[in-house]
Amino acid sequence: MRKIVYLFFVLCCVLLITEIGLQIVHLVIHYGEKKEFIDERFALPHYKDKEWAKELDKELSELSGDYKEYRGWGKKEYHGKYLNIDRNGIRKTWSPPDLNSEAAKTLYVFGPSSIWGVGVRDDHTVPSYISKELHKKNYKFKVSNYGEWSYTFTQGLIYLILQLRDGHRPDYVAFFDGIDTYNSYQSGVAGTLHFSFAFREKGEKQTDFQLISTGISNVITKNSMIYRELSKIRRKLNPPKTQFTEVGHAFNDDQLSKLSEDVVEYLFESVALLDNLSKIYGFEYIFFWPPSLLTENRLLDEEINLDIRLKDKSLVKLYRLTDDLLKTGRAPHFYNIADTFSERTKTYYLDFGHTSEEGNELIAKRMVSIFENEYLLEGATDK
Amino acid sequence: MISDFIERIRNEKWPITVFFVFFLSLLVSKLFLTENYMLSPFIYSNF
Repeated sequence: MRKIVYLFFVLCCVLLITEIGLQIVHLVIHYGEKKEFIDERFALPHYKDKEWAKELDKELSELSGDYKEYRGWGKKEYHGKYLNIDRNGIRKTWSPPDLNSEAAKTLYVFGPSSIWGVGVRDDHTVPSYISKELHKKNYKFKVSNYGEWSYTFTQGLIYLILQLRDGHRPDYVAFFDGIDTYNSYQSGVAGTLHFSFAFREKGEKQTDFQLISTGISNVITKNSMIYRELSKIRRKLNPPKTQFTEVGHAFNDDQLSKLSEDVVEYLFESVALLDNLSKIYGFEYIFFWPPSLLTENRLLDEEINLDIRLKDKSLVKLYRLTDDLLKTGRAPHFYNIADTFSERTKTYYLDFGHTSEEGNELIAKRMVSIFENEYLLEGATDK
Repeated sequence: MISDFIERIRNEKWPITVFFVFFLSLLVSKLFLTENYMLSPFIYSNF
């Protein structure tokens, strides 16, 4: 017995001293090291010589969010030089300085982080460019950015319902999708939220012992140098078959095809709900299917390594299948603008779904042109 | 008891050998083993 206790003691000493030793080595090696940008996308050529990039990167890193009833999550109030979120969690949108808010029509824009404007300044988000473009065309509009990180179409719809419940009565509502396909790929089921499996796991009942052991294992996996190095060696000796862990990655062609059909079906069942809401609450709506690097027919040299997801053939396939199903008009007021950058000679992408300020301007121009034809011009359904 | 164990470790060579082999192998891994392995590329992990 004494021998076992002795061996255990030796083992603990070896682990403890090794861990301390490796932590010291790590500190010495990385002492004084400072990454130029917190979000590595700011190192892309879009931000070269842009003096605001560093500040925007910092402001973006300072954002936080919290739980929001019914819709899941939302941003907290924040005020920076290039990034401002009001106390209702709405990002600032450019507005004409002389706009008479009482007389102006209202346009609410819903969508994921690409609409919210990751990597771009307040005045250069898609809703801001929509506002600028409408102003240029002499339309009086107050445009609001209801984009939120990772929001699906249906989540945006719930966000709209909550606004209507609170007494908001927009004249026009624009939806811009883009994340539904990825979220469905992540969980292997259409119509799911971003990280829906994490929410499900949190909801599962765990015993106190399970909670304690999960906590201890989290501390070890996140902080232990021994764990990190042993994992590295294990992966070298036995490389994982894939670096992608999304459920959809393991799907075969038939399953991907079925998933894309399910994504589209789920989407348009929600669009039908939006259509009914628009009739009851008296607003007009328009829905756009966005460009994505994953559905581009031609990649520029600078885009080949822009996003690791381009190497995930299953994801690319799912995006293309879904996009094919949405090529033709599926419903009134639905527009596929995935080909906005098809003639590009330089990239407008920051990653597979987010676009630069210049890219946002092109997207907004296209959206306004369609919106104008649909609702604002002579002979349109609503003038 | 702990002081007995420490005394025993001092007198025996194998615990020190185990420690050095373990520590040095992980040190080599840390300093020279690079990898391109990336976790699944989630868009954002926080709200």
